[in-house]
Amino acid sequence: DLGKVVVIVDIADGNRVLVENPGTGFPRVLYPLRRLGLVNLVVPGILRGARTGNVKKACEKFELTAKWEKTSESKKMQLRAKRASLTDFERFSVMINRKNKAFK
Amino acid sequence: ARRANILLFISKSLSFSLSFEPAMGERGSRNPLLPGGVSRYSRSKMFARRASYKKRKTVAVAAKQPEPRFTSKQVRGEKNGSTRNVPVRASTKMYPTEDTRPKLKNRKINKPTRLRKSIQPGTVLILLANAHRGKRVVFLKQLTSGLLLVTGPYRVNGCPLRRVDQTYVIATQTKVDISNVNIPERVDDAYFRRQAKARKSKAEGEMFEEKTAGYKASDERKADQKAVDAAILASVKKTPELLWYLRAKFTLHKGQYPHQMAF
Repeated sequence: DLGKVVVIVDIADGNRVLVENPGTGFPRVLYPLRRLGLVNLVVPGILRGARTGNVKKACEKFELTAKWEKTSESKKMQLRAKRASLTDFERFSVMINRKNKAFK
Repeated sequence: ARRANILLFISKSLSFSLSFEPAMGERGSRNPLLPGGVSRYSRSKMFARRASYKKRKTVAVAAKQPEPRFTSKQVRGEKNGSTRNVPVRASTKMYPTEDTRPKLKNRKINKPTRLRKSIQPGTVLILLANAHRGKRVVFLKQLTSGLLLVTGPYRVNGCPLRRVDQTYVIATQTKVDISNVNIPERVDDAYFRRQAKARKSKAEGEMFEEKTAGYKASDERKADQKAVDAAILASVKKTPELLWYLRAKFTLHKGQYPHQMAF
């Protein structure tokens, strides 16, 4: 689940919340807060305990995926993923380019 | 009458079920698998179903002539009689003191070494051991011994045409176009085998001093190297970064863990 975006729908207790993202197919589950990080996005129009249908509508109206992609957090995650997947040659090219950039 | 009816009923039901099962045979297995991983028919039933005893043709085996146990051999000398009966197979002179078990037969079969899928002709490999460790070289082909034939190219990183073991190599995803490369026929495992040093007759003063001559590449090797590298260099030089890449050695830096890296 690492890196997935969900919307908090209800709060169970001090440790767990009910989350969901119908847009990406993330199920409606109780999730420990320890494993969640807050993102500076609030989807308006979701009342406490809102059902999946309404959550979906609200997320679509808010364009959650697009807004998430714009955040710096999302960009950093993409960058990290890209760096991890670089092949040996790509890593070499990155090094050359950085050196060239510094030289200029 | 009732009993007969029941028997008829049972036999009918049996024949009923039998007629539903296809004989298969030519099309496939005569022994369908039931749920639970159990075969429908037992060994004896299958023997009857296969009826290979009906199909088998007996080949007339020519009667084997028994091997003669004794032959007569000519003996020289006047008083020795002209011939002597000598056994064809001499009895052993050696009788071991302890009974030993006969050794088990060696049933090993040497199979050709499997080449990793990631290693294709033209793949850039990172050598991990020996003189050229850290160098990025181009893979040419797998030799019959299972070892990989690689080349630097020599002018790029000093690695000549060389044999390398698959296990001491990291295959990268980078490929060089070697479709124009013609590897000479003579380049095979025997080509790379070490030559046994001819033993010099020891002179008095040369007892302890052994002047080992350094390795010198034969003209044959130089010619082959040139021939193979020419085509590779042509395709490598098209992208200057690829040339620099082959020149550079691979090293691990801080925070780099091979199991977390893609190559």
